Formats: sequence, structure tokens, C-alpha cells
Amino acid sequence: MRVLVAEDNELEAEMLLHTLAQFGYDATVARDGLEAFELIRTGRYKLILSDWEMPGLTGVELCRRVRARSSCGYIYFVLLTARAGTDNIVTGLNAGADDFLTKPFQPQELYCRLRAGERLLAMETRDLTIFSLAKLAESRDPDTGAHLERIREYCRLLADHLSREHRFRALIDGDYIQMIYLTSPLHDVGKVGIPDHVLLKPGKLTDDEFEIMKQHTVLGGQTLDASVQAYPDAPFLQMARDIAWTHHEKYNGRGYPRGLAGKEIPLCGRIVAVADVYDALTTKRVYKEAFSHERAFSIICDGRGNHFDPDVVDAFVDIEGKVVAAREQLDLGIIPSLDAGIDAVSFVTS
Amino acid sequence: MDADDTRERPKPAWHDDNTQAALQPIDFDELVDRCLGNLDFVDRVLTRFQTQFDGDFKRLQDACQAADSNEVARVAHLLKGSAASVSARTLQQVASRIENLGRSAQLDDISGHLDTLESEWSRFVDHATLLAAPMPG
Repeated sequence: MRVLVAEDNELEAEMLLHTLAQFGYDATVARDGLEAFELIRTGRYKLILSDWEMPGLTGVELCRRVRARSSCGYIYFVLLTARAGTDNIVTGLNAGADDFLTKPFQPQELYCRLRAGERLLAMETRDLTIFSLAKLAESRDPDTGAHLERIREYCRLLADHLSREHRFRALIDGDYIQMIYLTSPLHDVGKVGIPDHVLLKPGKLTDDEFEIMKQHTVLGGQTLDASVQAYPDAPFLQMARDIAWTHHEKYNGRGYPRGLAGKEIPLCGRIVAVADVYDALTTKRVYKEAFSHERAFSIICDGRGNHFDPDVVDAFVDIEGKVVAAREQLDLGIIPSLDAGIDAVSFVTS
Repeated sequence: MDADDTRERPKPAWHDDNTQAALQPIDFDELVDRCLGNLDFVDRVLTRFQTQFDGDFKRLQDACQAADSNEVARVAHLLKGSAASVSARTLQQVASRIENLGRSAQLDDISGHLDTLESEWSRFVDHATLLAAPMPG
């Protein structure tokens, strides 16, 4: 992996380079903060080791600039410093540093801290992979646009709002919110198994065609079931599976594929149900024009307790303004999306 | 010699593991650890440090003469960092004191500290020379 070392002291830089090379890293040195920032802008470096005091731009200032820019992917930033004391640690953390290394560095400690950074960066790769799969599943349908981006944002907003209620506090924490943001785009992954003549039909589906279409929940759920069995310790797979299976279930038990009712439907499925229907209503499709927000909002509210979980609809009502703002921002490309760097699927959103 | 040659080399005869590292100009064991056991790299690092120090010390003297406390602090900070990297403890400590004086703009008594730095540097050079010396016999 590439590492950028920002260090103005030539001797210290050489020792860092030697150590990093011994541990298998491909390291580049920047002699000051400004040079480091220009190299970071190339996008080639995800791991940064920066001295605190440097000419041009200090390590702390460099870190602030790195965090301030919207980049494709996370950059793990380690500050190298001889400074001690809580105040300095707080300053560095507030600037966005992920870790510290005291000088003079100890090679094994340096290695351990970089490995920790690599683990964190690997998780981001997982997120990109998941979103790529979801995008591929959607790619056959030309109508969906930024559907997945909107869905996950709506889900995040709903989950975040619900987390503030006492009765959901035990279930919905930061991890849950992050997971539903991550996995909700996989709700229709089963559509890869639906034939074109059904999936892409420009008109109303016949009863038989609708039965075929409904199978996407089974296909997606079963596929992810297999993943869960293979990796039982991956909670994000469990949530993805639950969402794929249940996002078309209805609170009154009249949904599909299994006719689950009420709290039998996992909360994540109940949340995605509202997000998915709202987005479908407010999006133009081959078989319909986009409904206005007001009309879609009214339909969602009318479905409270029948189609939709009352708690989720209540949350939706509370955050109505945020939902509208999110839709507008995503349509304008203001909210950065993780898929900005996924070249393989860029044609879908173009 | 190849800088990546990591074969073991006997420590100098005077190297006594019982000696308090704090009295030695260089904590050799720590330096070897930081260089991952590569003694040729240790040689290279010590040589580079000696070269770097000459230039830094001159800049420090000039800054003191010019009463430029910011420059005193900056150069002393660099010296401190380099000294720490090669485990030159006493040099590191003296450089740290000079850095603090520079940061607080208290340069009135700086010349004494420069003298201390110079004498510690002489100790360092002597010690480094001994480290580089082949085993007798």
C-alpha cells in the first residue's frame, strides 16, 4: 500500500522510508505541508504519516485541509509528534487525525498503527463493493437514476430520527444507522433474476408477470441467506438479507412474499418499505409520471398502519422537510455519493 | 557495503550492557532496534546525522547572533528531532532546552547552551567513532 510521509527533517524522513520499505509499504516523502497537500490531491494516497511542525503548512493544518475536501474515499491520517499532553491530542483529533505516533518512532508501533489504518480502509472497500453490487442489479432498469442514493439517504434519516425515541434506543444506534445506509441499496438485488420482458415491461404487469416480479424478494433473500450462512458474523449481511426478504411486506400482513405482519417484519424492512414507496412515487417511470411530493406524502400517510408501520410513518412525517431537501440535493448532485469513484457503473447515472 | 546487508556485527569492546544508557551520547541498542537490526543502515544514519548537524549548528549560531528567536526555535526543533531519531539523548535534551528558549524569546543566556551543545556534539562524535571502530586483534 502507498503511504505519504510528510516530514521536513531529512534524517527522520529517511528512517521512516527505510522502516516502511522493510514492512512492504510503498512510501513517498513530501518535504513540507503544501507539497504533501498537492500529492494528496492526486488521490494516490490513503495513508498519511505527517509530522506536526513543518514549514508552509503544519501537520494539523494539513489534516484540516484533507478533511475539508470532499474526496473519493477516506484518508487515514497519522500525526507524528514529539508533543505530549492531552491538549495537543485534542487539537490533533479535532483537526481530524485518526491516530498519533510519538517521536522518535518505534518501528513495531508504526507498523501496528498503519495496519489499523489499513483495516479501516478495507472496510470502505467493502462499502464500495456492496454499493457496486446494488448498482449492477439496478443497471438493467434505465428509470431508476439515483434511486439507490435516495433510498439509502431516506433510510438513514428515518433510522436516525427513530433512534431518538426511547423505545428504539436499544435497537437503533450509530452502527444500525450506518448499516441501513449501507445495505438498503441491496433491497432489489434479486431483480437480477427477473427476466427482461417483465422487469422492463413499459406497461402494467399482468397477474402472472407480477407473480414473477414478486420473486425478486425471494431471490434476493435466498442469495443473501447463503451469504449469511457463509459469514454468520457479518451483521451487515444479516440486515441486507432481512431487507431483501421483507421490503415488500405490509404491516397488515397483506404484503409479499411471506405475508408477515406488524413486528414480525424486521424494522429495517419496515423502514425501507416507506423509503422505497416514497421514492417510486416521486420518480418518473416508463409506466407513470413522477408524483409531486405532496401527493406521495399523502399516500404514505394514508398507508399508516395498513401498508406501513405507524412509527415509521410518524417519523417520516416529522422529517418531511429533511426528506424533501435530501431529494433535491441528490438530484442536484450536492450530497456526495460513495459511488463517485465506481467507473464501472457511472453509465447508469449519466 | 550494501545498505540492506543485515548480518550481525560484534559490538565494540567498550560496549557494556550494564552501562546506564542515559550517560552515553548514543543509546546504541535503541538505535539498532529502530533500524530493524540493519547495522549498515545504522552507519548510514549516523553519517547523515553528522553531516546534517554541521549545517544545522551553523544555522543555529547565525540565528543566535541575529537574535532571531523564531529561527533559533525552528533549527533547535530540527536538531532535537534528528538527535532523538539516532537516540542521541543528551544532544536531544540540550537541543530541547535551546528550542524552549527560542520559543520564549529568552536568548540572553543562549551562548552557554550553545557551548553545551557543542561539547555534547564532540562527545557524540567520539562515541560514534568508537562505534565504527573495528574490533581489536
